[in-house]
Amino acid sequence: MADESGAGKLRLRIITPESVKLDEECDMVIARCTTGDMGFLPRHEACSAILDLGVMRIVSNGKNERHLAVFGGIIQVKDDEVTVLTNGAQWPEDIDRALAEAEHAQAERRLKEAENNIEMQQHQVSLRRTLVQIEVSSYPLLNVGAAPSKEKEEQ
Amino acid sequence: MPSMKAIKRRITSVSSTQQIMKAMNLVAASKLQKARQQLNLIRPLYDNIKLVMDGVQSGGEALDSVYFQEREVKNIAYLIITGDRGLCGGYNINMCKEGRQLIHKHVKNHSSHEKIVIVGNKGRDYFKRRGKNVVKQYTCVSESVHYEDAERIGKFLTELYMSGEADEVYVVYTRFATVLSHEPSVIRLLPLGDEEGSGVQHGPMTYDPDVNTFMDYAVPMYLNTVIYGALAESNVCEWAARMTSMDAAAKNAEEIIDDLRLDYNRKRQGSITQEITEIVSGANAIQ
Repeated sequence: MADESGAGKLRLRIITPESVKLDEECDMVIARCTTGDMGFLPRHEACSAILDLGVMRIVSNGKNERHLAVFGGIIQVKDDEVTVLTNGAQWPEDIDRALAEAEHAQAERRLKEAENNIEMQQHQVSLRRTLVQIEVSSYPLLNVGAAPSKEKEEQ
Repeated sequence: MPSMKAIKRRITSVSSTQQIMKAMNLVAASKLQKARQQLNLIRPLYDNIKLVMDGVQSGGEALDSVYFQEREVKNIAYLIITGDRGLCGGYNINMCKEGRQLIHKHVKNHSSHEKIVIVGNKGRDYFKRRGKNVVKQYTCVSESVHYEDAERIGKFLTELYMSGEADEVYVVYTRFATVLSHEPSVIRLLPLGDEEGSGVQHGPMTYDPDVNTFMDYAVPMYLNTVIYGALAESNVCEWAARMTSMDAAAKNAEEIIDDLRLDYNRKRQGSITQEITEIVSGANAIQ
């Protein structure tokens, strides 16, 4: 429930078939939906949307921004609870960059050789999947760079 | 009466069988542990997507969608989940019987035609032998359950339903209560909404882009999750059944070995007594 006195927090839960990927409080969630990016702040109206393959951005503690690769699913917001139900989600550190790039090249090649629409669609999905992986996996480097400066600020 | 040598041979053979059973019991126990963990991890997804679907249903905007509409029942699809391998007590046969009873009941009530989608070798053999209409079979799925398999099955069933080849879809699986008790269960997958809602009050909800598009995406996901859950639950039951039946078999082997030992010792004692009598009577004859 929203805290009436101050800025509330969102409770974010990311659930995949294999596990509960994340269950914690945060300030803002920006998710890639089929109709475009949607941002959720505390006291958002109740809303359900379809997630596209894309990068989800999670802002907690004011400025700490994390990135998560999400491979489609549903997002539902209700009473300051954000529930993400997805077929798969990966943190940058879960992604093997070299493998993702190899898969990307393979998907590109197969897309050119695809003979019918169904094959084409399949390869397009895997192509986009690898693109998201590659995009997300470039973030931890940025985070590592940003972390020491943040510590200095605190000192 | 078998000779001493024959009895000894039987003891060795039974005890080596017993050892195999003990090993299989241990394997089943560890697999059961893993399967239960997996099942526990599925629960959150299942509960949440169920809530989403309840919300859609109680909102009432989507009730005229094809997923909710009841049609005249002519063809019914059944997803029956069995195992690939035996040595698990009554697990497979219970599943098959439950499926067959359900089909019989529907044939009587609606004079419907069955379309069976089967998971596992055992069930496939059972229904094929009885000349039932098995439209699709999946093997090597039930022992290590993956979401992708559930997706494949879900897609096939949804296509059956959407194309009008099946007017209702049922899932027959084994529900896990405890390690010792699991019961065959049936759920109706499609059309949705025969069950009562969870009783949770759902407030107004906006759907992006609109409720029907949302449903087109959410319903298959819901179905896949239900199938995935059913697969995982059946898998847990299969390993539990295998564990208990292997345990019982090892105990039975122990009993057989005990009986054989008794027999063997009796024989041995008899032969010694006989030898002594022969020696004594021989000695007496010399004197």
